[in-house]
Amino acid sequence: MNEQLLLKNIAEIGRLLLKNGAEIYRVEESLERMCQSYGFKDIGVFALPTYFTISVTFKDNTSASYTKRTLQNRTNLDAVCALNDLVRKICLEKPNNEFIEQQINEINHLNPIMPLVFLGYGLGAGGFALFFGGGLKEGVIAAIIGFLMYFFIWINESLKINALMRTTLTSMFLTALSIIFYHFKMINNLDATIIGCLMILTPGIAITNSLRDIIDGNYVSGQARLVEAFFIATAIALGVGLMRILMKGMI
Amino acid sequence: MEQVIQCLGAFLGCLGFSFVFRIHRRLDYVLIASFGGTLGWIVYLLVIPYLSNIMSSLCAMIIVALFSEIMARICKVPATIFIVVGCFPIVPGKGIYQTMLYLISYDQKLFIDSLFQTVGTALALATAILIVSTFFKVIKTIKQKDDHL
Repeated sequence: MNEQLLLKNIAEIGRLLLKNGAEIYRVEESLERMCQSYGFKDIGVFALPTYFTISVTFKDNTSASYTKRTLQNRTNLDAVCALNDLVRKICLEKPNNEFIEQQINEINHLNPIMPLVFLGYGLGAGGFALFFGGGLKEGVIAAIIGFLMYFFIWINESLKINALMRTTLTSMFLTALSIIFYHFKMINNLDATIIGCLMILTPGIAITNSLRDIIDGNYVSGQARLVEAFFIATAIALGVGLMRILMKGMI
Repeated sequence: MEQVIQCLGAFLGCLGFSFVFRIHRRLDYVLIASFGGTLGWIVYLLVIPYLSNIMSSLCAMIIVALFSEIMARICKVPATIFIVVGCFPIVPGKGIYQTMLYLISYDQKLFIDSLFQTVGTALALATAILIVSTFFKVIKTIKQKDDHL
């Protein structure tokens, strides 16, 4: 079997794992296990939230290494699931290159169903508006704001605005909309509506993933994500605060 | 009655977030994850009369993490999938908002209070995940030792 090509495919799986928002320890462990199952020696893997490097020694004592960088990571749990299955399969059955390539190709074409994401924004915002003490009116309005946020975030992304600024702008956008709805007496509970919509922006993933990384001794990655969580929270607060001050007259 | 509405809201919200985080192919995972989130909130409501906010969050998150790890082992998927969605009812989104509110209304005492609450809740979430993950890691290690013997 062509070991160079094999390593290339393994590295590609690692890149996809990182890109779709798997934890760092999962990326490192998966890469290591796959290499082990094909009998590579001197395996060295190091991953950061946007970067990893892998180096191995093949059976004929030549060595090779790969470095991959992924920017614009985005959580896609479907892909993480599929990749996890693939890694499991590779470790157990040691399939050949064609099979791995075909599987990677399949996962690459595993496009998210955008209407479902759109629905998710509305459902998420609406559900959490109810959760934080809103009534039916607040739930429906929050869902509408959630739908609009989807387009707002989409515009921001097509303009390639960085993540922190995007969070601040989105948080301003949802606060402004909520205040306008409140001003025209369409909702009674302003706080519940705003918090419900905010939940979409909260860094829940960053908090949970960072700690799981730190447990496994990946202090650098864990720290990076923790800082990310802190900055996102600050950006959300900044957006809400700014808009509330600007639109004080309407509350 | 209020509690029932909250649980319903949590379920719907988690359902929405599973779609946002792109669990699209498997409806059963979506339902499991959303149920995990609702379970967390039910536990929170059960313990809140006896414990502080932060301790209640800790208990709720421990249950969510336990549930997620167990379901992950049954379905053979990464536990993150369920934890990421299930943590949302307990994530201090409200805390972030209130902290900001008190900051812009110059209410220093309440500001400090809610800031500590928010950071405390985030730490509680983290600690809970830490405890449960470590627990499952130890079990895994013990099992592997058994295989070798």
